[in-house]
Amino acid sequence: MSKQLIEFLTELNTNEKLRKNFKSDKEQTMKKYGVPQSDAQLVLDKNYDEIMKKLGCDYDISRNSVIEAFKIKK
Amino acid sequence: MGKGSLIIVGTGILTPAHLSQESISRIKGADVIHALVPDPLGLSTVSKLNNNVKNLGELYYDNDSAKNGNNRLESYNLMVEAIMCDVRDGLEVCAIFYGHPGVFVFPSHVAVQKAKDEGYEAIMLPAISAEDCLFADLGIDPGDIGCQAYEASQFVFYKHSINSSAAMILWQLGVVGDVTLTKLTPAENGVKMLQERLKQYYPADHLVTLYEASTLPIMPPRIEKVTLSQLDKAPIRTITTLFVPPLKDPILDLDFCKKWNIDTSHFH
Repeated sequence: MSKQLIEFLTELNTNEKLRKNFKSDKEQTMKKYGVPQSDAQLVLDKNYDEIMKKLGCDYDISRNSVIEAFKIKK
Repeated sequence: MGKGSLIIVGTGILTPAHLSQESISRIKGADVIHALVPDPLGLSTVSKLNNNVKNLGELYYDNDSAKNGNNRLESYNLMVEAIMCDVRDGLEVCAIFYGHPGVFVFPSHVAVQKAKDEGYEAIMLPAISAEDCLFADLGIDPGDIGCQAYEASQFVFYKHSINSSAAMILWQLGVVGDVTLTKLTPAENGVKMLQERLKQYYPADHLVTLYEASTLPIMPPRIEKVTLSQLDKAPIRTITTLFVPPLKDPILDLDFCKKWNIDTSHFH
């Protein structure tokens, strides 16, 4: 996945002008930002699973707790 | 070399949008960062704020090798030791966890306690948790009806006094029923056990919501309603949470209210 898409998604989180532009014209906004066509297509297709996979998201490591019973016994 | 200290912060669920100003400031000011952040957006954001980042993800339990311990608990303890090593070396350490660092995060609490026990300054800052996102996305106000929350396995294994007149949130469906702490999926009968336990309190046609907060700004949250009887057929993922709405209205305690001269004529 391109660095531009990571940058774009990061910016989209905090830049209101970019968010509004994206809302009104997704394709042009991504093109203007320099997001490669193949990545932009995944966004347009709402192929979130593939985007997450390509980004390298690993939500398994967001599981960081154990219930009290296991803390005592292990 | 200064006296070491520890600050624990959370990225929130959507980074950098959920990162608080206070957390940003503390990340920037730290000597070293220990980060357990599951998405590259989060990691990239943190790295821009402070380029001395140690990735705690490298210490996460690996089912294919024994390099990070024999189960998740052992790998969490390795993370605590990695954090404490830098604290003991006199560094200002900032440890960053996904979501709220104190909600469903074992190593953060242990690290704070350990640092305090050893005489170091240690604090944890609040952050946005998946529960905060759930209230916003589902339009639930826990103040309206009351709300109880359980880790799914704990809900299954223990006898609880469930209040079916209040809402209930069940967390970590993704490992429900797993007692080995080595799996990252529900146990073989985990969802079935959960279903059976829920049916002790709710009818089979009770509508529940499978919820997953949005983790990218282009992506909506998952809000999928199913009946209890359909629960074992629904896809359960790592970040899936179950919201169970109340079954009935609470019963007004008329005797108590009368004793204390409470006018109940306008009560629902």
